[in-house]
Amino acid sequence: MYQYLSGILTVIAINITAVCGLTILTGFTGMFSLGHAGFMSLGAYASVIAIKYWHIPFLPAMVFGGLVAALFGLIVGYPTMKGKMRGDTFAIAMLGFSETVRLALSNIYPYINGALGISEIPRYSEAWLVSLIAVACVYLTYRYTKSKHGRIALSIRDEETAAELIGVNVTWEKIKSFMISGFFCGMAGCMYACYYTFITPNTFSATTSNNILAAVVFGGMGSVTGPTIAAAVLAMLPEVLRIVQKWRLVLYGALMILVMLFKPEGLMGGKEFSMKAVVRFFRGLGGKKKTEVAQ
Amino acid sequence: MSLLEIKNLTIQFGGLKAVSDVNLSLEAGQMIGLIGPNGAGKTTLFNAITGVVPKTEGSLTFDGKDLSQYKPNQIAHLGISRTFQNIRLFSKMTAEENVAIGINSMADYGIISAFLGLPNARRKDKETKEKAQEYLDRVNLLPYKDAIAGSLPYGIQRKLEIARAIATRPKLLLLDEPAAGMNNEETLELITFIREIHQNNETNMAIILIEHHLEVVMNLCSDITVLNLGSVLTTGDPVKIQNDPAVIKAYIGERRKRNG
Repeated sequence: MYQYLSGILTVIAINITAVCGLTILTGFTGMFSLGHAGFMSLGAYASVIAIKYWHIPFLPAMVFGGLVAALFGLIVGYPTMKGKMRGDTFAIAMLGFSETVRLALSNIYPYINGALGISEIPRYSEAWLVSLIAVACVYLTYRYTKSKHGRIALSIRDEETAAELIGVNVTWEKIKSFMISGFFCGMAGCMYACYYTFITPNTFSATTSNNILAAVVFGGMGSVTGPTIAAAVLAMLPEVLRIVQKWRLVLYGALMILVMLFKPEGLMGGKEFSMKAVVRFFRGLGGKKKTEVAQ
Repeated sequence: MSLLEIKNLTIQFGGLKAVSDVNLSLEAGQMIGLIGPNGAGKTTLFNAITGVVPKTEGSLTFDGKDLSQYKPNQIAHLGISRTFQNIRLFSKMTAEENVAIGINSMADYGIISAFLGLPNARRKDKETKEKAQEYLDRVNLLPYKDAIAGSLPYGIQRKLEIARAIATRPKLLLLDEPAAGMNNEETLELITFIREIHQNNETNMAIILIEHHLEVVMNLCSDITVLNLGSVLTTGDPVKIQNDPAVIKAYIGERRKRNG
């Protein structure tokens, strides 16, 4: 039972780390990506090579994986952002990116065994460790979005032309968000590889990309805590729904439709979760009751 | 040397000459009006100055620099700021944040400081916040600082957009129909407002004002340029413009002789 729970916790932590990255790109800069699994893949492979062949410890290897993913972010980001790709075009371009990564990795045999993948990766991803990393990532993301950089990202999402005309270097700011999102996803890929102990090019599929994007939209664009909560919920949901067995995925889909129907702005809708807000909410409820009594 | 010097500017969209052979020059601190019927090319001229549309022929010089060498965001840093015909505020941010972006469109501390919330980042943020409030105070919008920009009344949004534009400390401010959609009372208030920001600023700011409400231009500008069908129809002081038959013809057409 303990192993089962710590397993779920690990998956949640990995999911949260990946979602942190995409929050900055999608939630704050307003660029939808259907291909961030590609970054997870790149990060995972880079860090696994570092761990298995160069015998580098887990944490530096993880950061290395993130940096490699960020570098690819620069390579892909420069032409797409410079070419003013936006909205749907960009999302599809990213889909192409992740497919390219998958197929390229399937056909490279030295070091990474092509489609067979790499196995016997040391199991470094302990539940407590990855949870700590995830918490740190949420904190860092939160700080970033509250900074000037975050505010500038938001201005691009809200009104790109106006942002450019008051001096924001839109292209560079977008590339920056893109690279940061790649960095976080790369680290998440490394944690994933060191939890399941084997990876193949198909480990990080389009489904993975969709799940991270779903968590960002589900949690609320322009919020950090919202997507974090959503990432945890979406990772737990398939487990919780085991009680209904076959209907699990049907319910999962139905729940997503319902949330989008009744709360299209996402769970937090651009706001942050704070204890103050919770207290205010309950006070509000209490206050209402009192006035009812008075009447 | 003048602040802005436009020489023989032509802008062509396919077969359409939106602006043709326009000459215009502007000194620091001057305020000029740009009027003309719909489709005269006024906004296109603004777009060319701010680098949004490329010029076809001619030259645009600002402060001794050839503007066609720069990208829109760089032009903003050279000291040209503008507002838009249809308001383009960051509608989901607060009024204060809108102005803050104007103050510091280039984040002046690094990504690492931002991630870790280092003291220098916090100090800069505090400075920006104070400055933003100062600008809001100057345009009497301080009470609205925490309101979401998109939810503010129309007239206030117009003012906020101007506040955001002047927060970049421009040498040249381009106002694109600031009185559009305002009633008479609001328009009168706007006239006083624009005069105030023109007189009280540190950069000896020049203003070009596009406006359809003639009383606004006549009130504020000593010098008016009339555009029609992409070219300059005439230039002069308000009295001259008001009585110029060519201007009247461009705006309301010619009286037709009745047959019979």
